[in-house]
Amino acid sequence: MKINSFKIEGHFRQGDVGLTKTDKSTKRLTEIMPMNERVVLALGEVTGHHHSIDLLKTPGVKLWKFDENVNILSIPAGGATIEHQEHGSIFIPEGDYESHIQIEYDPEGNRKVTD
Amino acid sequence: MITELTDTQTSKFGEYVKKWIDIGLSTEPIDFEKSKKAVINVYKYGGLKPPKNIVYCKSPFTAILTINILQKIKISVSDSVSNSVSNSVRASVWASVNDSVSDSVRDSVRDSVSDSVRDSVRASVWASVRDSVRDSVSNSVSNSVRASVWALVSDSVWASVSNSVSNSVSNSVSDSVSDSVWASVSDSVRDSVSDSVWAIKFNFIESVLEGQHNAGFLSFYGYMRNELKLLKETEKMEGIKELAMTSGWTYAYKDICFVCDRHIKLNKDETGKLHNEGGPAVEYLDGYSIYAWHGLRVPEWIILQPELITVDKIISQQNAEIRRVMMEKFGRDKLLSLPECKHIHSDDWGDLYHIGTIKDVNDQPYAFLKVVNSTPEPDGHSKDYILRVNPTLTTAREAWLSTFPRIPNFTPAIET
Repeated sequence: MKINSFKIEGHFRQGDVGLTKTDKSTKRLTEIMPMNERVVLALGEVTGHHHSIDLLKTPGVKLWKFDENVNILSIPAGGATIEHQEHGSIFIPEGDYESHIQIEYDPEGNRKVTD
Repeated sequence: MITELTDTQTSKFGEYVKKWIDIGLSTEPIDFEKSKKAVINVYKYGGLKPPKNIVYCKSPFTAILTINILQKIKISVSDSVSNSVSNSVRASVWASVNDSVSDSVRDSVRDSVSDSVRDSVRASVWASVRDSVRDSVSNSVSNSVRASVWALVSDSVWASVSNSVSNSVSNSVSDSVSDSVWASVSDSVRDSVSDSVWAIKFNFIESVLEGQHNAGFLSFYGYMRNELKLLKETEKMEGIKELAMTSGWTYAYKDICFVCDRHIKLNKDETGKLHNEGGPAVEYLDGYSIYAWHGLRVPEWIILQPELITVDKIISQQNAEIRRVMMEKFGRDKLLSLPECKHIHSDDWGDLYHIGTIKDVNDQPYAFLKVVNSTPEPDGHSKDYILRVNPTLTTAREAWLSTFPRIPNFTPAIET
């Protein structure tokens, strides 16, 4: 785990997923339904690995589709842990967060990093 | 209710881990007669009549192609091209089905049982068997006992079998089947057949019982049955257990069941990830193979012909993980020391490079940021990745920020 010396509280990164605290409303957003009791922030095409939260350990976590590139993650009181097969787990405190997938430049239009 | 385990019972954990990992990773040839008995028991415990036909296949790939042929692949295209495309796909898929599917399938089963491969029984088997066994065991054993058996037995088996092998087989077969269909149709009708490819993928998932690869949860119920003597509660799981001990993947339908042989070769690295530097990481009797580099499935040529890896191929690879493996096999230092690879800037966020000889459509050089994974590998080293960035950027920090363009001044407090 890397701790940045000039960190910004509320910013987290696990591999190609970045989180930032938000006050955006989740009203009127569509919920992204869990898969196999997990809230999945991102799924690797080749690896099958996923950045996800186990609902059996922390019920009440929800994910909302904000737009094509951003989802909103709602973490209930007590916080929740994002897990991944290859990256260290990250504890996220209570609150709402924008969830972003890392982007790569492409002259014909930026695209999400795929793995 | 059982609320705690004795020392003797806990001392058996390791035995179950070993037993079920061995079953899950077994490369022993199938005993088809025993498999047939196991299939009949799966159906019986699932409250179903035994299937009329049990067909042997040498790999899951062959099985799923055969099933889709028997179902006469549905293709949603306009009437004018429907028949020709349909026939073309079918011919291609049949050509991929080798002699592991017996003549009796080709000549009789194909015509006589196509209706019978429409109704998957997987859901009803799971509902009748797994769900009811889970509930019975839950009523007999406390949460803490269940949790400790799961954590100390099944998690290890799950990691070695499901996460490592079963998921790779699943994704590989699914991709191979799609590729097989894609290869048989022209560009002009690809969009039209996408529905059928999805149907095939769905079919692949909806009917499969993973045989030996169900070792993860079977280790849990095996322990409950043998060590905690929950005989009645776990009775219905016996068919699934027999299947796991005798067979590879199995596709179960109302009147017909396809049983696959086990993989004949399985290669892993020292950390248990699928890996083979010079050949397939997983191989089946009919030659169906999966290539992997430290757990990542990669195209065959990257393993068998690494000399074909070039800078152009590395940077044009869109999947960041496969690109990483290509860079690793090409040689990271070799790549970065090439005369055309120009170092622009470095800071805590990475190393920025331009490749001067390679221009994009706007006549700009190819630019990439080399970053280091924040989570070290078990052996202590950290993986390098390269991310394509806008060539007009001049510092590594700017390049890094451009990869999260909608988070202003992204500076994560914690990174893994």
